Amino acid sequence: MVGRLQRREFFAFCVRVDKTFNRKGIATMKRRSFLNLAGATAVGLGFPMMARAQQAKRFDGITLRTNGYGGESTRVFREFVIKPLREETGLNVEIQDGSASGAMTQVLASPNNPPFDFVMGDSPNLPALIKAGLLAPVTVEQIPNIAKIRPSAREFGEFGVPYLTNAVVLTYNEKHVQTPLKSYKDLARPDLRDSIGMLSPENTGGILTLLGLAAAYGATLDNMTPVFDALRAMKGNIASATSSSVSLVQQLEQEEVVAGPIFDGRVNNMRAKGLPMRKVIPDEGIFALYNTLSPLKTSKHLDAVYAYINRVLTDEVLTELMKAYRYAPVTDVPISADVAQEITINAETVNLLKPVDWTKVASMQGALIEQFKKALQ
Amino acid sequence: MQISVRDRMMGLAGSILRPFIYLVLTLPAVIVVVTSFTAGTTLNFPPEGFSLRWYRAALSSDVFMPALWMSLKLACLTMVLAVAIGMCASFVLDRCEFRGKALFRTLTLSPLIIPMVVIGLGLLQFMAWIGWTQSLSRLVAGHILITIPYVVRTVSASLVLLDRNLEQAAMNLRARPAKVLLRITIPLLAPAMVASAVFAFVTSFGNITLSIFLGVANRTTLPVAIFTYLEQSYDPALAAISTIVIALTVGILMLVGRLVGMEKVA
Amino acid sequence: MHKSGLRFGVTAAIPLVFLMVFLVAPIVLVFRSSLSDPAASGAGVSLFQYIRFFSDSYYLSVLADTVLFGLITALLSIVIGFPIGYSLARLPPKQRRWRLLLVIIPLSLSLVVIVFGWLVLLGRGGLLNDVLLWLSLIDRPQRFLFTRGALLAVLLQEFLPFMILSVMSVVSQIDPVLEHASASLRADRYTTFRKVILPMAAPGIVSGATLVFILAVSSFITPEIIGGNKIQMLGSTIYAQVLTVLDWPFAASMSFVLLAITLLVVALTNRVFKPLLSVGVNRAN
Repeated sequence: MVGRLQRREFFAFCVRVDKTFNRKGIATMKRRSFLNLAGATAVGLGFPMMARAQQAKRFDGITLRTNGYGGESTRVFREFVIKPLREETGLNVEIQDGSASGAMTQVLASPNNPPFDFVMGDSPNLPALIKAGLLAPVTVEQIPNIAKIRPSAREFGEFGVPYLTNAVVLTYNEKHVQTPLKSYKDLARPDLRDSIGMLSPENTGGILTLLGLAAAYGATLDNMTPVFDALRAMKGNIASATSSSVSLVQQLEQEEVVAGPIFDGRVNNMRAKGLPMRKVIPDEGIFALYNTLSPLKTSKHLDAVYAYINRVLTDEVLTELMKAYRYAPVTDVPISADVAQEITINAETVNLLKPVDWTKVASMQGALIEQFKKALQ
Repeated sequence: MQISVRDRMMGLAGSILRPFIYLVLTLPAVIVVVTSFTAGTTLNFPPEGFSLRWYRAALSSDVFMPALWMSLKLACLTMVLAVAIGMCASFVLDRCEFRGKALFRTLTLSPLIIPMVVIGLGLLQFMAWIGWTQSLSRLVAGHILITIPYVVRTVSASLVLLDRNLEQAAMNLRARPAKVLLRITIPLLAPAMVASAVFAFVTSFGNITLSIFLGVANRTTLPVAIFTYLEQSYDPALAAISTIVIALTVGILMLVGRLVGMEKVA
Repeated sequence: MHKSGLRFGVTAAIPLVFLMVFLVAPIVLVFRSSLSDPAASGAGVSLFQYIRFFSDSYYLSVLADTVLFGLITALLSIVIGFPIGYSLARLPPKQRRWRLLLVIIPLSLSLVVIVFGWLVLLGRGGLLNDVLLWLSLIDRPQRFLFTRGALLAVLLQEFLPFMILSVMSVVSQIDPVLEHASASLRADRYTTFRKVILPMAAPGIVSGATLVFILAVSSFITPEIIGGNKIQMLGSTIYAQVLTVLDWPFAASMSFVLLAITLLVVALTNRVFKPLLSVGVNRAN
C-alpha cells in the first residue's frame, strides 16, 4: 500500500516532471498518456511493497492520537517508539504538542469524544481524569512490561502507567553559596537574602516543594498553616516564585538567584552544561511525581495503545528518555556509568521517596496556590 | 513659522526620546539575534564564540520548520478573512444608523476584552457541544475572532476621518457605488487596511493560548512549538528560530511595503 | 450610501452571524458556568463564585493592581507613542519604512523570547546593570527584575507598537496643509498640536490607548515571568484557574469581573474622552 505521504510526493513529482516536459516544448508525449504511464509504473513498483505489506501488519491503518510535551520529549518518542512501531506493525501515532494542562483541558471539555486515544500526563493530572471516569485500567496481561515497574511507582492502582520519576531536590550555586544547603529549612537562612528562586504551586514542582516544606515544618495536608507561616517569614529570601521550570533554570543560569528547590532533571542538565550547581537530596526526603501514560476508555484501538506503552517501558526506550532528561526511570533498567552520577533515584536512594496522596493534593491545589500567593504578596 | 522656546525644547526632547524608544523596542530582539550566533550551549549574553550550528539545528528541525509553515498559512488565511469581515462591520458602523448599533459595536470589539483563556475555553466547550472537533478550521475561526476587533478599530478610526466629499464627487460624476468603493474609498482606506492586516497577521502568528486549546495533532503552530520546546530544552536553537522569524517578518513587510505602496500616504 | 436595504443587510449580516456563533454562544456557555452552584453540582443558579471573589481582600487587591497597571501603561503609551506615531506619519517614505520595521519587529517575536531578552537586559549580570556600573551611576549591581518598574517597562515595550501604529494611521489622514495653515497664522508647533492635530487625532489616540489598556490587563505570561509572582495580575490568576486548578466556574466569574471593568473603561472613553478631545472637529458628512 502506497502510504499517504508517498502518494503526495508521487503526485508532486508528476506535476514537476510534467511542467518540465511542457516548458522544454517537448510535446512528444501528451500529458494524459504520460501520467497514465507513470501511474502504471508506480503500481508496478508498488506491487512488491503491497506484497510485503500484506504480511499481516498488526495495526495497519490505525492512527493513534496523543498529546506531547514537544522538544526532546517528542523527539525521543518519535525516534525510539513511533518509528520502530510503524515499521513493525504499521501503526501511526500523531502527537499534538502542547502543555499537559492544555491537553487535560481538551480532554475534560469533550469527555464523550476526547481528541486523544491516550494521554501523557504527570501524577497530579490523573485524579481529575479518574474522577471523570475517562481512564481505562491497565493490567499486566495487557501490558506485560508493567511487571518491571517499581510497585511504589504505581500510585493509582490500575490507572496510569508511569515511566519516569521527577524528583524535587535542592540546588545551589557553588560559586556564590559557601555553606551547602541540607534541608528545606535552610531556605530561610539569613545569608540567602533575596537569593532563592522557587516554583509556585501552579507548577507540579511547586506542590512537591510545599510538601517538602510541610515535612520540614511539621505540617500535614490537613493543616498547611505552618508552611505558609514559614514562607511569610522567609519572604525576604525569595526573590522569585515562578510557575515555569524553565524560567527558574534561566534565573539560576543567569545567577539571578543562586539556590532553590527544583526538579532533579533540570539540575542534572545544568551540571551537564558545566555550571557550578550542586544537587542535594533534602533531609526531609524525596518528594516526586511520575510522568505517566494513560489510555482513555473511549479509544477504539486500545490494543494498539497497549503495544505503544509496552514499547515505552522497554529498556532501550527508558534509557534514551533517561539520557535526554536525566530523570530516573521507574524500572530497574541498568543505568550506564556516564549518567549514573546524575540519576537521583537509584538502589540506595529509592527508600527516601515519600508517598504522595495526589487525589487529596490535587483537590487542594487551588487553595494552595491562593495561600501561596497571599503569603508572598 | 513661529518657533517658540517651548517648541525648541520639545523638538530637542523628541530627538533624544525617539531614538531611545526605538532602541528599547528593538533591544530584546537584538539580544535574541546576537545570542543565536553563540558557539556554546547556553543562552547567554554576550554569547561565547560565533557559530551557525544553532541555525543548522533549527533549519533541520522537524519540529520548527513545519510549525513555521503552519503558522504562516494560518496567519495569511486569518488576515484575509478577518479584514474582509472586519471591514463589513466597520462600514456598517460608520455609515448606517440602526437600532442596537452601540451593541453591535461592542460586540465587534469584545473579543479583545475577554481574556484569551476564556475565549479558548468557551470555544472548546461550544465546539465540543456541537460536535465540531479535530479540524484546523476551528483554529482559523478562533484566530479570526480575536483579530476582527483590531480591524474594526483601525478601519473605523480611519473611516471617521474620511472626507465623504470625495465619494460624493465621484458619484456626481456618475460612478456607480461599487466603483466608488473600489476606486475611491478603498484606496483612501489603504493605510488603515494595511495596518489592520498587519495587526491581524501578527496576532494570529504569535498566538499561543488559542493554539493550545484548539490545536490539531501534528499541526502545531510555531509559537506553541517554541513554547513547548522551551519547557524541555532551553538552548540557543530558540534564538535561532526566532531570528529566522524576525528575518521573515522583515522580508514580508518590505514586500508588502513595495506592493501596496505604504508610501502613497497623503 | 446610507441604509439601502439589501446592501446594509448583507454587509451587516456577515460579521454579525460570525460573532453570534463564535463569540456570543461560547461566552454564554461560560457565563452560565460562572453562575453554577457548586452545592447543587452545577445545576442551580447562584452568585457563589462572585461572592467568593469579592469577599476576599486578596482578589480585590489583585484586581486593583491589574487595573492600575493597565491605566499607567495606557497613559505612558500615549505620551511615548504619540510622538513616534506622529513622526512616522510625517516622514518621507524611505525613512518611514525602516523605522516602521523597528516598530513591528517586537510584535513578531514570540512572547517567551521577548521575555528572555528582558531577563538578559535587566538581570544582575545584565546589560542595564553593566551600563550603569560603567557610567558609575551605581556601585553595585541592582535588582531590577521582579519589580513593578520592570513589569511596567516590559508591558510598555510589548504594547507600544499597537499605539504607534494606531496614531500613525490616524495622523496620516490629517492633511499637512492644515498644519501649514495654522503655522501661517503664527501659531507655534505646540499650539498647532493642541488645537489642530490633537482633536483630529483623538479617535486614533483613544483607540490605541484603550487597546493598550485591555492588552495590559489581560496579560498573564509577562507578569508571571517578569513579576516573579510577586506582582500578581488577574490574567495569570484566571489562567491558573482554568488550566491548573480546573475550577472553571471560578475562572468564569473572574473573567466576567475583568470583562465588566474593561467594558466600563471602553464606555467611559467613548462617551467622555473622545468627544472631549475631538472638540472642534468638523466632519464633512
